[in-house]
Amino acid sequence: MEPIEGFEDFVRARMPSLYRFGYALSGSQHDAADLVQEALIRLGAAWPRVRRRDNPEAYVRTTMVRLHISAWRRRRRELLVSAVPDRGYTDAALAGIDERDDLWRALAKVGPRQRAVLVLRYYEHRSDEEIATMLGVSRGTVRSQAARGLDRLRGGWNADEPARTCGGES
Amino acid sequence: MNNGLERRLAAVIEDQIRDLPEPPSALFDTITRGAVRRRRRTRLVRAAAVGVAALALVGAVALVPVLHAGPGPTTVGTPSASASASPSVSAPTSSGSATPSRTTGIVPPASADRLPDFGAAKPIAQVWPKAVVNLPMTVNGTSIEPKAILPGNRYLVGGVGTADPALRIYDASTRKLTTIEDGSGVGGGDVIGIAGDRVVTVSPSISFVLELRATRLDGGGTTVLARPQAPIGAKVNIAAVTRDSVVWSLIVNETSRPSGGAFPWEGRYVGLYRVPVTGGPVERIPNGEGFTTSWHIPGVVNTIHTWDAGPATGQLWDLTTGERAAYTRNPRMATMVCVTLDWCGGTSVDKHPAVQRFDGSGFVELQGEGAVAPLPGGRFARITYDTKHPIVADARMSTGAMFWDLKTGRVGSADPVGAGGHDGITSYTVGGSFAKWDIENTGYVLLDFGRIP
Repeated sequence: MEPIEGFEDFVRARMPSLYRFGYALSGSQHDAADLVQEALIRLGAAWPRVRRRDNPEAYVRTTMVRLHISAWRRRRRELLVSAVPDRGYTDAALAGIDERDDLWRALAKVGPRQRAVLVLRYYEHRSDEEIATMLGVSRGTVRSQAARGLDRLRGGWNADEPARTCGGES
Repeated sequence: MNNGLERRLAAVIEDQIRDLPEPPSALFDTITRGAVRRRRRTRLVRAAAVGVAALALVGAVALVPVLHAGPGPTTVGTPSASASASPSVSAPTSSGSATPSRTTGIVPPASADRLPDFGAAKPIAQVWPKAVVNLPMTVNGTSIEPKAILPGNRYLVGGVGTADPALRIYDASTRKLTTIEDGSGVGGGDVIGIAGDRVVTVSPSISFVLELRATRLDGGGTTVLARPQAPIGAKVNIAAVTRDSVVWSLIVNETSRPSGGAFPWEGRYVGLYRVPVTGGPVERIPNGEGFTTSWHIPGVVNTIHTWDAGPATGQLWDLTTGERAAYTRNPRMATMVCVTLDWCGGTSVDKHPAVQRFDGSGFVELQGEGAVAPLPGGRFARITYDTKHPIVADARMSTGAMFWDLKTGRVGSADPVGAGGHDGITSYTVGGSFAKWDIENTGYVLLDFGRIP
């Protein structure tokens, strides 16, 4: 198989960073690997066009964010408990690591969309406008989701109560 | 960042990232090879887009965890990787045309020696040429995506991407596109079913209000049917479309536990609700406690078999006919779905694709590892085969493999033209009538099950 010119170099250089980003998004090494793999394969398939017109890094990170949200939704729907509202989960294999920090554990209970907003804001240091573009929502929605996510963290930092949901993340 | 929590959050994420090991060593090769393979294909299934048609991503894949597709198994009797492909999304027809959980007389063979030769399956275009439909991806500069097959050689199509939330009718005879909902007022939505002269949609995945809507197919407008709410501690399970209503359920005490890399969710079903597709008050369905919506029938079920430790019996309740029936799960069946009163498909406890009769008899395993997913109506099934994930221990990949017509015994490889496999996801929803492939630079290929005699 012929390599895709420039793509392998990009993957080699950026994969560790993207893997870390995937972990921040998902809280799971498995899911992080899944996200990176699928997003980079998609990037590779579109590499000439993306390299010519877009920022490959931004492309792949946006893809990861959206995959993360949709994968969550998809997984739930695949299992027939097709709830539109969603919430976080804890990767049991990583429970030992997670428990080192209550806030990290609380973050695992935040739904994927709110978590994505929080990660993009506080880990990626993105502006609300950039986040809105990545998620395909308005800036107001980003702000409200960030506020709700932070509220969830405040409430769940030391609490283990299930979150209220009514058609969306609360 | 102006308060302690935000600063603490940033620090915590940084700390966790710092402790993260390096990516798996095999990841680089998997990515670069995967990208080359995908790029080199002349036909490319676009992976199911985020938020687009996600509501259709429920049925067949209920039985197999997916984030990736991959090569098929090497087990004799299963399709080769090159002979398999995964179409992406199928869509509902009128729920009235779907055969719900009535007895159909269609059952799988009760012994393995009477199974079709799955290893010899030919591409669907050869097996069911009259049922294969080609549609363009763009009509007069507008990108489209098929959502449902309508009478008269017409198709309900959506726009592509979040920038175009419109719903349109594509007339394949005249090649004319007619907008029935431009999406400007209500935003985009995912099609979950057609009831009579209306298409029912729900607010898309990247939205934060659950809103059910009905759009008249004649362009007569969109009605917001309901904004289902759940009390504290409960969740709304996604709606199903019956003949004239949209139904949803409430679930409490939702739990999850790992199962083969997936996270099944169960809970206590505490109520069913219904709203007419023509609009009107929401009503609670009497005696609906203990049931939840199902994507496989225009009705509800009282349990979901997503792991082998689940209950040995269950009930289907067809809300269109009012018929309610109990089934038995064969002890050797793990995950399982029943769509008629005749048979059920799923995965055996030994991870083989497997079928059984409604009463638990006639258990038969197919070769390979994977699942048999009955399509709504019970005549057709999609068989998927799993392979081990190359990176993640205990996780599995899946690849669409073939469609099985239980009425005639014919089997078609899930590859529209036999030109190679694709990554992607096959799915269907209630009343599901077609499988769809996106063929780059060519158009859509649909397998219209309604055209198979």
